[in-house]
Amino acid sequence: MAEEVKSIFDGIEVSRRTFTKATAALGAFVAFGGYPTKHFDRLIETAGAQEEPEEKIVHTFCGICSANCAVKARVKDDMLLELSGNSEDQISGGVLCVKGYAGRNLLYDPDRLKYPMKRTNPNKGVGEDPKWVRITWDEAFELVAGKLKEIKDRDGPQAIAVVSRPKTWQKHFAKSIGTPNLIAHNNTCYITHEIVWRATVTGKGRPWTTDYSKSKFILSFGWDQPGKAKNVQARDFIEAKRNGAKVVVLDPRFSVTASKADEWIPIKPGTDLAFTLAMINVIVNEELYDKEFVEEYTLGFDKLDDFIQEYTPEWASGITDVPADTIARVAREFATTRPAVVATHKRDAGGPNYANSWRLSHAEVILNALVGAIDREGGVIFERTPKLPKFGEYFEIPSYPESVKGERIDGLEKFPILYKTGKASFPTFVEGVLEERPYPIKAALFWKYNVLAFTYTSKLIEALKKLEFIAVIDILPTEIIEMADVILPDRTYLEGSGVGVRKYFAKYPQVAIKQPVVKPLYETKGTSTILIEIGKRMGLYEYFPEGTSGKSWNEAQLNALGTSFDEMKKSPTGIWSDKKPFVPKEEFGTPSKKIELHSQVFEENGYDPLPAWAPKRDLPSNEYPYYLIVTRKPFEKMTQSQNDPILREIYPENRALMNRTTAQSLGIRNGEYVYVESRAGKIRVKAELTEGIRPDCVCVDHGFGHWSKELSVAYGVGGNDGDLIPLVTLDEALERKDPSLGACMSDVCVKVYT
Amino acid sequence: MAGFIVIKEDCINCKACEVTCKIRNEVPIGVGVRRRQVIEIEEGEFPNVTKKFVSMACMHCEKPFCEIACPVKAISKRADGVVLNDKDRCIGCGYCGWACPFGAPQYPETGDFKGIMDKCTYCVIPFHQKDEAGNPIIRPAEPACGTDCTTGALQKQGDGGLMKKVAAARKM
Repeated sequence: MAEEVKSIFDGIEVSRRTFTKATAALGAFVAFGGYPTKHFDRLIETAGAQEEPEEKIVHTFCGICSANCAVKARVKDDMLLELSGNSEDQISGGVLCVKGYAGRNLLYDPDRLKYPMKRTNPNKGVGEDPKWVRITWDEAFELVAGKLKEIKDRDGPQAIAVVSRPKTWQKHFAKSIGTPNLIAHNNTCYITHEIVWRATVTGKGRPWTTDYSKSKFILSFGWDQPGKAKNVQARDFIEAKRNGAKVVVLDPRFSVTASKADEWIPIKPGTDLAFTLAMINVIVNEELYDKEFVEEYTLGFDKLDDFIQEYTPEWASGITDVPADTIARVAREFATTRPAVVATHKRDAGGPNYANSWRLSHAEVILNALVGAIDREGGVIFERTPKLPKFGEYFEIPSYPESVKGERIDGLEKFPILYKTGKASFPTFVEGVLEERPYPIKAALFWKYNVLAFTYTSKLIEALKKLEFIAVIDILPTEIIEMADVILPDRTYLEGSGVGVRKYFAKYPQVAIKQPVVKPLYETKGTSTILIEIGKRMGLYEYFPEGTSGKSWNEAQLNALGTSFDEMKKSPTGIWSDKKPFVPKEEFGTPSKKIELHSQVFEENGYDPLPAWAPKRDLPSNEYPYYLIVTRKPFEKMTQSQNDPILREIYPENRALMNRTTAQSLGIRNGEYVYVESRAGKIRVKAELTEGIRPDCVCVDHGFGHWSKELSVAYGVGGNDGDLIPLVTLDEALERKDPSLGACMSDVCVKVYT
Repeated sequence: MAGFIVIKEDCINCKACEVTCKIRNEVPIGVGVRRRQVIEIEEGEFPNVTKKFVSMACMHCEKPFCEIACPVKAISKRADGVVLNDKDRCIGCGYCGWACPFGAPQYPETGDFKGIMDKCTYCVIPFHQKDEAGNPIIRPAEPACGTDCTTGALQKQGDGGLMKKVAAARKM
């Protein structure tokens, strides 16, 4: 029987123990204006505990970002007190980042989705009340599985999109249904780097480990991991500085990294490629490269030599706003101060920010190769990972339906290198749904993707309105639930189990486990449990045979390492390691087994085999005179952390960073609300004036502008930078011959007014 | 002795210290108290700009001016150096705030302790200094920020090893 509820926070129905604690916490929440701050020990006492409970440490790993730092959770009587880093872990190094410490606030967020619900108001749209009705899990599963099966039988499996990060269970679920459409945000994130590494070095993914603490020269093109507080990279960078490393930062904005650098070069946005090409020119012509490494491990140097001649420092100077002798000097210093490294991660200049970013990423690989920084200490390192079983083979899953290889709604098959990565594209997904190209999408299952994570959100809303059915698996009531028909409440990482192979720093193979630090709150279920149940009820028994579970998969992976989940839980560190010495790679994953400076893979697929100069897409005009830059504050996790009251007290809302002189010429005062407008849309944010940004740039922090009223802290705070970013179209990316379908995340110009 | 080492060159302005401080000490949100705050100092003109980040809280001074200024002797310095404020004695006059060169004393604008001074206690006493039964809470002098700083820019005093290493590396 469905019971109507006025608010989704009503009617917590859990075990008595958890219930007393939860209500006590909520009581404290009311008393102190927004956050359960009372001493949790005392909450336990009021809940009637007889004896003083023991405090214990539970080993798990963080789920805030994909670094998955190993965590020690201090727990007392099933209440999480604090999170800290696990020093046995190569990534966490015994500390966490600010987001990791704040992770507890997500677990105890009173706004969390607590039980399954269904929509009763058929009208969907922004501000439309879905009129939620609470339902049982059984009813929710029947509803979702029934609807997905109906659409699959009627319109074909391709009419269903699974919108989720491409994780093990989600991939398996999408393929079991038979849809080619597993849609993720990759081309708005780091896809350029992955495509370039795949084509030139690895034949598969990109390396994630960087060894900055041993670097003597760190060159950054918009790389600002210290400013984003990425734990391992920030620590290693500071360690490098302590060890006397020289740092040069090219960034239109005076980033935190720039503030630590020996030299800040405020380069014109989207021209870093010209700078790198001129650097290569100097390094090649003055023979400053690592001759041994280049000869032994690279291919195509002769072609690079011919190609690079036209790109002189004088030529680059006109494009970048940087004097030619500065470019030549940086090139010489970089090439002769070893180990040197060009630092990259995700949304730096070589990330999918500009139309030419994939070319920049290629030039960055060439620079790293020229100084022998690929898989060498002090450089970029391939993570050493243990051998684990394959999902499909372990569960003896039959081959997936042919339809999974069909045309995709985001058009990814038109980008052969990208298609092979198994990644996806948000902007062209929206375009595909809107234009029903190549076919209409009828239903979507969203897993923890917020509307604000997309660019040009109004277009996405338009696209979602076309769908017949939307199910959402999520933790917080973000904007997507306004468009949902059914809500399936997921667990936080602090309530789930898993196996986490170390990637972001793995000089030797290491694995951590995730286990619930407290009993799961409310009527939530884990992702794998939810997907398996939907799959079974859709009748896909062959793909979800008896014994398929998250638990058995965790066990299978650990058994392959000669351990088990129970053994790991009892281990004093919660970590499995194989501490073998680091041995640099002699061979790489390209057809030639060498680093292909001149990429055969690019050439065969019709892309530029060397990173020829091309400009960015949008340039300043009379109407939109300023370049847009987007960054993220160190304490924000994309669009997922804004409901944290501690973080909102520290940084109440996002701002538009402007050069003081520019702002004064527009009559804009510090702290004043301004409109930032692009050809896609406009947002209203506070202006923050600084000397630390080029006068022709405006920088907006990502993650804000939530309009879901169910988010009691984040609602109505700040503006969403995504509203300023036009959708990259399929035709545009094809015409540009961009193998990565880069989403041009900052390749747009804006105007600012009050 | 209680105190903090702040290496401004190593601070990345991430505010992890502010977050762990709030969590460990259960300092309420929205009452206007942040026991620890990272200050950003920008100087110069484009493109010759510098930025410094300094994590600020009570320094647990050797000779605390706040202690001298307090008319009701609510503030005292323990043998281990930790400077504490007894909220039962404090009358909220604000003299300590005038006396402190670092602006450490803060006064909640709302809530149970409106106007009563609060500041870093080296994690010895949380915001509410007593438990439900009315017994004072006294914890070990182990500040969260001193061990949780991501880059090691903020450390509790006593761990001199790193400071020496930094000084040697930078030839200070």
